[in-house]
Amino acid sequence: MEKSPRKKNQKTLWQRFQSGDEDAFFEIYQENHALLFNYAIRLSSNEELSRDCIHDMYLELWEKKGKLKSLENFKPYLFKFLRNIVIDKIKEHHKLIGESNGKEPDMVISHEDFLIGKEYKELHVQKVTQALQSLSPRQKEVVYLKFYSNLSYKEIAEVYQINYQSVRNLMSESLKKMKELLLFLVFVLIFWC
Amino acid sequence: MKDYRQYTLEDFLSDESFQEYVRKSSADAVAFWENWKKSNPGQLEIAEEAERVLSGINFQTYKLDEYKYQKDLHRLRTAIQPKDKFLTTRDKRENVINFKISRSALQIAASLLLLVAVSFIFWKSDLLDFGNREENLSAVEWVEKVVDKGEKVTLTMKDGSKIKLNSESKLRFPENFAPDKREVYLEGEAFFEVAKDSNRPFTIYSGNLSTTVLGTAFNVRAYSNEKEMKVALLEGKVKVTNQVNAGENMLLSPMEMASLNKEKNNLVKKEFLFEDELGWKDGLLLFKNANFEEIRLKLERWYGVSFIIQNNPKLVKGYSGRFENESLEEVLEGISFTSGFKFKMEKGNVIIN
Repeated sequence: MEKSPRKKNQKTLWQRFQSGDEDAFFEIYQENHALLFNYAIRLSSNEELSRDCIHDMYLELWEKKGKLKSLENFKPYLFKFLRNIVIDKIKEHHKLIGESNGKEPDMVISHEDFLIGKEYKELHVQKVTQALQSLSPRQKEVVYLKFYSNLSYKEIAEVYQINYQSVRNLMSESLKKMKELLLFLVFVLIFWC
Repeated sequence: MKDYRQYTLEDFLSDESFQEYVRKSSADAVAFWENWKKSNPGQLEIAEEAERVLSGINFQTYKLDEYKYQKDLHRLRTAIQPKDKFLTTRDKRENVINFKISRSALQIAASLLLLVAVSFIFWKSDLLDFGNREENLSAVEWVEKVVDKGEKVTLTMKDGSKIKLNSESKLRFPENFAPDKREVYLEGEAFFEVAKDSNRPFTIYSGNLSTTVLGTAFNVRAYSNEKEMKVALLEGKVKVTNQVNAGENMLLSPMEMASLNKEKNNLVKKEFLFEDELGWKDGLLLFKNANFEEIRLKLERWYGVSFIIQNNPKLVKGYSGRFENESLEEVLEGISFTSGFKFKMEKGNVIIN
């Protein structure tokens, strides 16, 4: 398979980082920054907070590098780690401003993620927004991790510590909910052109 | 091998290999599915429907400014250096001082110390000549004054100098100035009326810019989110130094302004109009050919409010106007009337629709 040389690189990159190689550490940082930053900002809707979370995560990684497991594929681990930090930071933030909700973070996914132009009418926007709201926070995240972050089902399973089949089910349900909406949009688009 | 001929729409949608084909992320998958479609014309319709669904999902990307990205990288690089390399005599001594403070204050002190240490590390790597300064600072106790959005504060230093801080600004200064110099650190904007003392130069460090004077009145604008830092002189003489471009400096005479562009990293001398640069300290809010974004930022900072924008107004041409000590509502009424948008006020927020 074409994936294997990359996998091998990932494994050695992680090993180099674990043995204290700063170049490897920053290679990991740079390679994954765009994806992780986008993930954090989707979860928190807060750029400053996202930047802080990424900083905290890497700092902690560096400090306990020797004690970490050796990993074949560290990407899901980074997503999981970052997710936990973001959740904690959001809680802290809520406490600070005096409102607390114990809920899971709810990703902001807007109609803009699905529409191609601004030529859509209010009605379409409403419809998309409705469909998105019918997704649970977890369902949104799964769709996002799959289609934006390009994680495999197996990797997503590692992020949430659930099994492969649960991820497939989550995805299947999400797409079922979104199907009509997406087909509807394609339909609108065809008739628009 | 799965039997794809039994696949329903949902099966196609959640099939990873099919997703890879639609999103062209794997050459193998593309080859496989193109081939499969040819040999299974009966399933073509349903497969293509699934394709349409999947290709409709296009998440937008948030881009972090290159400048901020570099700053974050730098922050991390600095943070992972062995600690004692950066902890200087000053940090250690401050540590000791803070420990004498009562237990209840300990937590605050600890976080303050962290703040001081972090910003210090930043300075150390940013400023070339910091090494000389730090030693003399060692016994100094620092005070920090933070001014929030919507506020302005005037401070009087022990030497008689007056500093008026604009909204969203921070000044760090020693409880007592050293016998041979007066130094403060500024983030944001402030107007200085420095008491004359020819034996003790007064220096303001702000980002990459330092301004040194003996006694005079001038304005420093150095908000970290702005491209330009400016020092505008009202009276006396000042020396402005670009800390990054080693030693590049400039002497200013009254009504001259030094401007440092962060991108080009060079100092330029300009003339200025009093009310443009110093009007703020007398409560003058000024717009010159401003677009909506500038207006929003300025009002948020000036009045300490947040804007909720439901519909971004399009200003046909830039907005110009001046307001002297007027309320937010009066100002908004003026701008919205000329620029043709509507607003509401709700719980400290301005809603634009």
